[in-house]
Amino acid sequence: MKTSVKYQHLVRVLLVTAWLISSAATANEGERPILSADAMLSSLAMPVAGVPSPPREDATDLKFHEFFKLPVGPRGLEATEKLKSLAGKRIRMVGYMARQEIPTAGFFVLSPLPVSLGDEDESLADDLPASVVFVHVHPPGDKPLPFSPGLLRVTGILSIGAHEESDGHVSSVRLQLDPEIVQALAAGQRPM
Amino acid sequence: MNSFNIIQKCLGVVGVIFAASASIAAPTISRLTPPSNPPSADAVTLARFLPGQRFDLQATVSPDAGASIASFSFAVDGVALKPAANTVGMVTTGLNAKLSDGTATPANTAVVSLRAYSNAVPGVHTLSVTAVQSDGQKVTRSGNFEVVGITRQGHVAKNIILLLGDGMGAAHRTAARIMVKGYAQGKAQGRLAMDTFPYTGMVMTSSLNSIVTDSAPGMSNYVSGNKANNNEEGVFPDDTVDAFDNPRIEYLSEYLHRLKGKRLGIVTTADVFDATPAANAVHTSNRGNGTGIVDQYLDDRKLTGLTVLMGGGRKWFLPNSSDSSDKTSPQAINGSQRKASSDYVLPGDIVAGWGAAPGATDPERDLIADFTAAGYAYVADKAGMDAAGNPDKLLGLFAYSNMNVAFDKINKRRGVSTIVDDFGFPDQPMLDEMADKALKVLSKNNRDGFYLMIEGASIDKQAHLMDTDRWIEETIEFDRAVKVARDFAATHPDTLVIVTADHECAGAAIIGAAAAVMPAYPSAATVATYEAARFPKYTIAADGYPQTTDVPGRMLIGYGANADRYETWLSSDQPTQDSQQPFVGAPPLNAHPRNPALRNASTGFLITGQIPGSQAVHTASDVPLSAFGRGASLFTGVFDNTDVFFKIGQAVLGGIK
Repeated sequence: MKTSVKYQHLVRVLLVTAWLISSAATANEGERPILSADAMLSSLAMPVAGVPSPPREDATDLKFHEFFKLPVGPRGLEATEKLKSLAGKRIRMVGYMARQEIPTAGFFVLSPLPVSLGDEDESLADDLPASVVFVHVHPPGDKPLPFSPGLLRVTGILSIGAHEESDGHVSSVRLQLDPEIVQALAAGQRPM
Repeated sequence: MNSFNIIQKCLGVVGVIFAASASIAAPTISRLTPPSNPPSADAVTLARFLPGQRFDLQATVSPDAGASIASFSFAVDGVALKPAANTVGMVTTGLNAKLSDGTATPANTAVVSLRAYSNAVPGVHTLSVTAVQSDGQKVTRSGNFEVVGITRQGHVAKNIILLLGDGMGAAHRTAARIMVKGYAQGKAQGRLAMDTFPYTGMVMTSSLNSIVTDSAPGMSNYVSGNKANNNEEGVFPDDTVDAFDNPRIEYLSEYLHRLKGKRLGIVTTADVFDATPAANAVHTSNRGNGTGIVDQYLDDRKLTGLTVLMGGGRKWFLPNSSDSSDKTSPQAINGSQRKASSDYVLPGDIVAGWGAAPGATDPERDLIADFTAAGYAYVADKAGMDAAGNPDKLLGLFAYSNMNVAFDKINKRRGVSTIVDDFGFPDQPMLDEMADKALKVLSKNNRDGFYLMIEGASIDKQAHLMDTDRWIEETIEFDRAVKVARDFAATHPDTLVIVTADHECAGAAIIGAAAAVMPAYPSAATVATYEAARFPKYTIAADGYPQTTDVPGRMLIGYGANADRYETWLSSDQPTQDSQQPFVGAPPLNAHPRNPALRNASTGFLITGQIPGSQAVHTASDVPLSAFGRGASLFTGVFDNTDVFFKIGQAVLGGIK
């Protein structure tokens, strides 16, 4: 009897683990991002539920892997035609808000995988992937948007080209966040 | 208590009162550099230098409240030094909030320096600094340093090749030997190239501030002769925030280039800004300052003799001209990670003392173009490297960040994996191919010789990730580079070849082997121990790597410095994600395991970690060192990593009988 209870528990643990991991594997940027391990763990840890993004019919979906050409050229990364063609237009992206050691009002970083940035000891040689998007909030407001763990779906106007951010990073891709997303994030909601 | 004792006690009390009042009423010196051990009969001399090797003298002096430091002077063996023009400096701003003893930094504290001092007289010397406060009060503090003499005897080594297997402890070497050579009836069926070296010693790897070093002092200590703090390379610690103004120690490359005109080569599978490569040429207290580090490679090439630089790290060499710094020609997206905050500008006393380039805050700099203008051929992949012929100088940047590992590079060459394509760099050279090219370039028309550092970087990086198969194949790749160096030394007998590690990583141990048939559910019980382990057999392909590492009865590795991980006792098809890679997080790389605590979580069993964090850590275990060629006989016994510097000095300057 004892053994079978133990066994059932083991199976349950294995199933949950398998689900956690398969979801982590399918999506940092997958089709069903709601299944990400981080999203689930964060929803367990915090009372932040995913709320539907307001519908924006004029937004084009853009994915992180669509930013740069493959293979990488001898003079560095090159923007794809799709990325260039969407500059100035409204796009929709799914990604993770980077955890900032010192959050900054006016922007956050959207990353294809969960990362931290601005560790003082690393002098900005931090773990930010090259494809991160600096998401700007206009007007910047007095305080940073609260950190929202798990995957976010955001919309806004895309801009590209090197730009020095207020924290010293130089961004390549930026998004001017739509006001309704700003409101949702400010209210502690997680737009999905 | 007799009267003598009473008098003695009273004198002691008076002494304490006097000392206490003196400490309030006079300036204090909280740090004197180079560092010394507290005086005692058996204390070893901490700071040691080769004859004429340059180093900075520095002190941190705190005045009384309301006062300031008016003047200072350094003296050696009681004789005041007369510094050359502009080689002294006093800094009173930009200091750390706390001093080295943990107390708050008092107002008007001054960091005073005398740059690029050297002493040619062997023996222990007394160093003292005297500072005078604005009200005339003086303070003096003394320490010592040693100049290690060279014995002139016999033939000298002209070329030095130092192969550094990052994180490669004894177990990493043994595991590579078991896999690639095989054992039978207790005997290895062949030897690694590094096993064939005639002299071997054990190295103590600790840094200035910890028993467990990181890769910055791990390398720096070998090639400066002095202990550096963790995260620091080519410098002593100081009390300023600026990461590029620390007291410098002349590197082996700089010393030998200045004295003998030797050239410097640096070859790594890591990003070239990484600690191990940088700790051969760049002086900084922050190993993360990528922009300044790569700039210094080029800017100070006349100090180091830099002739070959190969590895990953293209992202630091691309111009990053933002709209705010250059409004007329905004930079197209290129993935540059150059930033003003990680760049360097040197204080005038370092520039004057060392003849160093002053540096500039210039994230917009096109460093590949500057290297090319300075006469370096630039290559971006293996085909380019092969086609470059034998240029006078060579820059090879084969990846955006760290290069892919041997396991994935070789599987691409075999046509069974597209992982390197997915990373964006389909044609990366192997370390032995880079080593061969570096030796050809360095030895071309070269009567003066060279110093070449070759790093197998991802032995460490994959051991951190506890990706057993990847670090073993990385060690095999490294050993193939060792063979290239040994073959060079065989035809150039005035060459010294050293193979070692900066530290051990992960507490790796060969704990046994798998059963011939793997059970459906792996566990600790899967490990066949002692005689049940028998002798694992791998088939080695023509390319020199195992056809597969997943053989029946495969060797199994445990970790003594492990973080949480799921273990299947099988290889992982995909490398664990590296957030520095440009396509990380996006398909198909997002299917790769994110960290060891997620890798194989659905198929493995959980082994709980003994340390915080998601990766295994370095350990303080001694590492083996093997030597071949001219001067190799010096490298026996158990010695400190800083001793290696003086042994090389003896081989190069004094020679071997």
